[in-house]
Amino acid sequence: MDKIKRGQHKESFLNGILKENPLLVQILGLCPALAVTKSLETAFGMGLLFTFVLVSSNVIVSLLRKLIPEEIKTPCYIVVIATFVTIVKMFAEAFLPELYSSLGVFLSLLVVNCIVLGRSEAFAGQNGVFDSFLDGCGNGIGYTWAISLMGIIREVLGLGTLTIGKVFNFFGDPLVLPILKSTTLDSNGNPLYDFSISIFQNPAGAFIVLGLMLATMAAITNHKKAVEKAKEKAAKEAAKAELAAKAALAGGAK
Amino acid sequence: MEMIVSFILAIVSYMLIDNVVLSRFYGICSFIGVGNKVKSAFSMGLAVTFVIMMATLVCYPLYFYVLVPAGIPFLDTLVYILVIASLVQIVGLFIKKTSPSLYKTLGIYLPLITTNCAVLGVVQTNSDSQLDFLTSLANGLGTSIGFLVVIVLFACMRERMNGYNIPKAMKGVPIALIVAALMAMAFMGFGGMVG
Amino acid sequence: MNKYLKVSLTLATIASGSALLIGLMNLATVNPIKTNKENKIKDGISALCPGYHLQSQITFVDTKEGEKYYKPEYDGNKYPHLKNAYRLTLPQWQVTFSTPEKEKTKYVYSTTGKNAYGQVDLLVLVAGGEVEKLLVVTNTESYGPTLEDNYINKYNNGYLTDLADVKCGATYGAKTVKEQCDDALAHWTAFYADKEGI
Repeated sequence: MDKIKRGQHKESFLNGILKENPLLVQILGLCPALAVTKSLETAFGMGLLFTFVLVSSNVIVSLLRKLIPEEIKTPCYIVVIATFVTIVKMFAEAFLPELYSSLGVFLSLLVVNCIVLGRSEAFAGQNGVFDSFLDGCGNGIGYTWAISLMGIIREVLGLGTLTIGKVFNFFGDPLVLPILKSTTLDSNGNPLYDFSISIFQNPAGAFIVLGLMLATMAAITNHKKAVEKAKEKAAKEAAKAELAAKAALAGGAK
Repeated sequence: MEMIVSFILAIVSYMLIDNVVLSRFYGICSFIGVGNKVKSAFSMGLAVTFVIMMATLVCYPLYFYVLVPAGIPFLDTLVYILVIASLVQIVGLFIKKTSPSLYKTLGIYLPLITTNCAVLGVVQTNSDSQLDFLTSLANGLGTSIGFLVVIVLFACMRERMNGYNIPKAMKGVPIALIVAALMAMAFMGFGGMVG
Repeated sequence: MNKYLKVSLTLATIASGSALLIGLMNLATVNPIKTNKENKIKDGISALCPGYHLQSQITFVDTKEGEKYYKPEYDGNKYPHLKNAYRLTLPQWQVTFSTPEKEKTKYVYSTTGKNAYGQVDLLVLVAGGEVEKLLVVTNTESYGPTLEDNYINKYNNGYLTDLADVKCGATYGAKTVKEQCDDALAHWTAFYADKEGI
């Protein structure tokens, strides 16, 4: 599909981050984006594991692309992806047990993630190893920042606090930032202030946040397009005016 | 008698309370992608129902009577996805031979189902939570009927929405997600129905 | 024919290669996973009753016939939900004349149970003839937090006075929690109640 020419390494990396962001622009991989974004840390952890699966399956698919016959392309890709997903699952269960239990079945469901399979089919199956590696990194980072942002929004609005260091608990006690809900209690045992809206922790809140994020992205893209169009129009008009002025000058000279 | 009651209760709770799309978030891609026409949504729902039931029936004995005794339960995901992919292929070929008219309605959706998380999700939760056979069946049945109901309802709403004047940025997927959010809120009302 | 052979050979090679890789990874992670699970129980016990020392442990063993027996006296399948019991005591220097009898020794039961959505494993702290506190170890239900927020935390904080079979969201969770607690209480009453003077 989109074969990369030599000397375009930078683009294959940068495309995935913003211009062709897998979640916000291509609108793929919605299931984990909705399911694991209750808190910033689970979302970020999911993003990291996702990036690892994407990069390694991209590299392997790209290495094997000349050996795999055309008819069994998809099954082979699925097997490769399933291997890395299982490896990541075991790694998470052994070394990040908190993350493993909060991601649950969605770690296994990375096997049928549209982004991973889509990048294998559309990019890694046609391009070299280095480009596929860069493409995997770019798309992974793009997806990670998008779902982390969603995680921040849902955690702050839904729980009122932002917890750092609970899932990745390598540095002692977790840090809890009181943003919309106070962490100190008054004499009755209630928090001093609490402006959190618990619907954002529920499935309905996930749909709302993702819908509004996609709409914002679409609005930005539309605005950019409109500005570009206006610029083009202005440039055309300026050129026309210049021509007219030249013609007038020429006419005046006569 | 008690078994039948608990079977039916489990189906109802998997179908409505813990709905596959609106609270478990499986199969969102096909939900958003196919759910804009009632007819295609219905066909997709039927195809998913069929594949989920087949996959449950095949994968349950495979896990509990082959993988676990052999000491390799960690290969489950790999085996499941291969089983589902080949099942979808076989079912497609079978339908094509026996009933071309059914193939016309279901056929184009079959390849999409391999990558539908609902199928793998059901099979994986069955073995992850060590459910027994009857509950696994209830999970499969409830999940697939829930998917069918929700995707058809959703498609009806999106068809009605075609004529309305929606802000430009909200058109397409964003407004569909907002509609899904409203549906999810409505389905939250079922919570606590089965105690 | 040649083509099919090539196709199936490629697929078989890739599949066996991946199975090998996964098997190797399993060898590397099987021990950390085991210690993780043990640590979770240990941490849970020390979170339930801080300051206490582990005195002894009873294991309710699963035999191959699906029956359970445990060390003190064989009792068939009477307590199907129990896995382990831990006897915890206050350190000797902390025991004073004013320490009530039930504070001196506490029992934590590690229990397991199933509902329609999955498995719930608990640590049940029994002291003085009542369930004092509960802690969820594993919970493979999809509505996990609902169970803890609506039931377990309320019970621990004293908002629920008894372990009634309440409806909490869309789960059967309360039922299995109740069964596990009942088993733990029944075992405690049968074997330790007279020792504690109740």
